Amino acid sequence: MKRVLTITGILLIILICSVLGIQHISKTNLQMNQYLENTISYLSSENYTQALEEIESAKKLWEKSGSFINTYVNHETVDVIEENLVRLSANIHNRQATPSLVLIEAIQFELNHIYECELPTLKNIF
Amino acid sequence: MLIVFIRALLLYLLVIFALRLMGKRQLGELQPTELVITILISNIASLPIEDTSIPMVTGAIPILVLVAFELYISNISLKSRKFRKFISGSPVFVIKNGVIDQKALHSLRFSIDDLMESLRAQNIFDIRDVDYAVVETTGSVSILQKFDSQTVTPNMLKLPGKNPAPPAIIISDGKIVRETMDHYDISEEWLMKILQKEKQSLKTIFLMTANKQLQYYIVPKKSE
Repeated sequence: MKRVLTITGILLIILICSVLGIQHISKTNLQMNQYLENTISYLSSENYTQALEEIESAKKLWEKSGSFINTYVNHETVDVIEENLVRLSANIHNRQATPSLVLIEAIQFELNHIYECELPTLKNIF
Repeated sequence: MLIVFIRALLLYLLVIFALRLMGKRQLGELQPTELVITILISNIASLPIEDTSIPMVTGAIPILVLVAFELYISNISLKSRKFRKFISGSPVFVIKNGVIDQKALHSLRFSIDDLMESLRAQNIFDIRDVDYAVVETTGSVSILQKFDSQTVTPNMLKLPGKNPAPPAIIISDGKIVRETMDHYDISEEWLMKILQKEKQSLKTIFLMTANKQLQYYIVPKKSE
């Protein structure tokens, strides 16, 4: 009985952490998307300085949250977003609006993809 | 490389913990569900070790979930005979009153060669010596030999005797095993007297066993 209670406790902790993990990804996505949307509007008005600042904030957020998300999401997926953020930063620094916007779309897609892949849907289970 | 080393160590500890949680079973006598779990756990544990891009929880969580359900199933099996039968099946008699039940062998997909092999593993080379043979749910075969072929026991010869208590280890590699001493009510004074009598000390003993009747056996350490 002791073993059953121990393992049930462990299972409950796993379930709770899984739900919290999904919530954390959702919260991070919201914040990241906010930064990315702001970057889009700054790029549209050719305000590269502000755009770069937004991306630096996004990078800092991703550095903090990404290292935690790395513990339960495939590392390559997290690395791809980090890589794209670095490229985006370089493009904005070089005042290349179009490639920057493409990269922003890609990052937003990947962020959403991470979240969707963690949800317990039939598509993900099977 | 260091990551692989650390992951291997952590997953090894986790698998040990998981197997301890499941309880003691000899590998050769696993029930079907236990065999499945053991194979799955070993395969799952290797995935995060081989591929460092996979998070460690991808290996740890399935192991813990499998162990949990194995514990739940084994607990339900303890309480419900029907459930136990559903999960593990029932033992099947393949030899009854010295007669081979060919239909039972066929239903188990157990060939006569398999049966003979099981008999030989229990030192029975003549099938005529077998009265009953049962294929257990683990796949092992239990045998009852005919009276004429059974090993003679003291009971058959009506010999008197007492049941000896099994000897247990009281010194292992120079260290006293206190649990055995307490269990058998063996005092340390008696132990020291015996060591003195045998001209030994704790450090010079590799193994010492004793039983409740204070019959002992000593294996001294071999000097290097």
